[in-house]
Amino acid sequence: MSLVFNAMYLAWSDTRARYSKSVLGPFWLTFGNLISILGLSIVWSALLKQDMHTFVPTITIGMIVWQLVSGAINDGATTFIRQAAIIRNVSMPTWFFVVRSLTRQIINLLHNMIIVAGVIWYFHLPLTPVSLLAIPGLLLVILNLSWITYVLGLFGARFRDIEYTIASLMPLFFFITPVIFRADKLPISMKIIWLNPLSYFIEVVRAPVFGEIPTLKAYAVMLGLLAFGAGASVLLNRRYRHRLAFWL
Amino acid sequence: MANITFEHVTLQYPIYNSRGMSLRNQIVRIATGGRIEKEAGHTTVVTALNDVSFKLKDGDAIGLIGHNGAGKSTLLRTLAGIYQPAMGRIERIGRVATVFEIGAGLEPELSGYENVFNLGMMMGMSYKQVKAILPDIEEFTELGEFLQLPVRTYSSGMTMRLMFAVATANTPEILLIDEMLSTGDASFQDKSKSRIQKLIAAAKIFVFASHDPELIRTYCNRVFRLEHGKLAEVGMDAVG
Repeated sequence: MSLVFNAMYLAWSDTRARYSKSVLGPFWLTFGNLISILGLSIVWSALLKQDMHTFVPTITIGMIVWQLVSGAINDGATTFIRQAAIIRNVSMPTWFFVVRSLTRQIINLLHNMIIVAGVIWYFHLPLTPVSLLAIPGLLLVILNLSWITYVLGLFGARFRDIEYTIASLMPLFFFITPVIFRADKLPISMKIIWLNPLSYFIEVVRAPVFGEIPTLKAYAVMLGLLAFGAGASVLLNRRYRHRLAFWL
Repeated sequence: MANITFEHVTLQYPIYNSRGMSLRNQIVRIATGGRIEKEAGHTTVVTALNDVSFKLKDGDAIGLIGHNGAGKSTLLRTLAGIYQPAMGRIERIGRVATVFEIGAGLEPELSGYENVFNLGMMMGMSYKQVKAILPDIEEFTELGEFLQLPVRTYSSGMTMRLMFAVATANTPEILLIDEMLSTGDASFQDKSKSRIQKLIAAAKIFVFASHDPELIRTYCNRVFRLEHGKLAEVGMDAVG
């Protein structure tokens, strides 16, 4: 258990090291997000003639959950490569590095929460007891991201193309995931976005904030993915855990 | 009580070139049944340890000698449990500390103190434990004010002091060191010598790979020579 704390401490240390000597520190990320949300809100709400009161919170929460998801997936492939020096020097369980990598994403998320809080306050978004469902939703997202980080990290260490493949695919996923729009606003022809598993990652967090209970299907997909991913990780770990040090 | 037993340990090390690391080549290889891209799946396998057997017990201080590429570093990593052998049996009892690559795991932008916490916690110490060894590290490294500066300003000797201090502060039962001790100045040599001797006296195991006969004679009481992955115990006079 103390190892989990250690991994989290190291993630915090990584964050500090990355932004050392900068004044805003990790808040640079928050600031950057604020700018892009502002820009998107102004341009898109005018373009799509949307009501700012629902449109801006939709974009904000969508973008911030997307930052978490895409950040974890982008970083996933380099989870072990980045820590190669330690893996070759200290015998540590593989999950240690996954916790470290994912915690950094969560630290970023916490910094971004300021924007969410600000938007909810500014637009008087009515929070209901249903909104609390966003918390288990977020937990499901994080649990799913942990196996994704692990599996991508393992493949990324063995095949160095994975990192770049993912980096080039993520922008595409941004458009076929309901990040800057609500899926129910889409024409029937676009229902295929529900074939994209990442759509559910956004919905289980965002829908509750707007007082809607996420569909049963969304929860089923999230839990199903989790069960599948956990199983795959256990199998991969058993088979390749000892090979990892050779790949780095 | 610490002990390490190797029984007929053979370790093979795959070397992936850029082609072996390439996903496209793997896919093409599968798709073509391995005929067209014959080269794609070709990874060189190096037998780094070949049928190695030995027993280390309390108080053993092993000097590991051999040419470059003889398998010294690989043996140390196998001793630490980082590499798992393809064949053979390894038994290891005792808490392991390693000092292999200088600077490994250090964050150049963070201060010496912050890096002490990072290193300690990477080795599995708790925050409290690291805090408890801080005075010892300050005393041992003699880095003084430098501990507050970013590690990127350190010389290799200073980095070595820091890493060695953290690795040994918590009195490991098995201490594995690759080369490097030679980077310190005379006062550091003295200090590390007395610390290693204390460790051996406390019935711990110390394994040290080096090309320096003088250091091996000072620190070690047994000598292993590695040659093309084969290990043999030799007398102290074979050190040269």
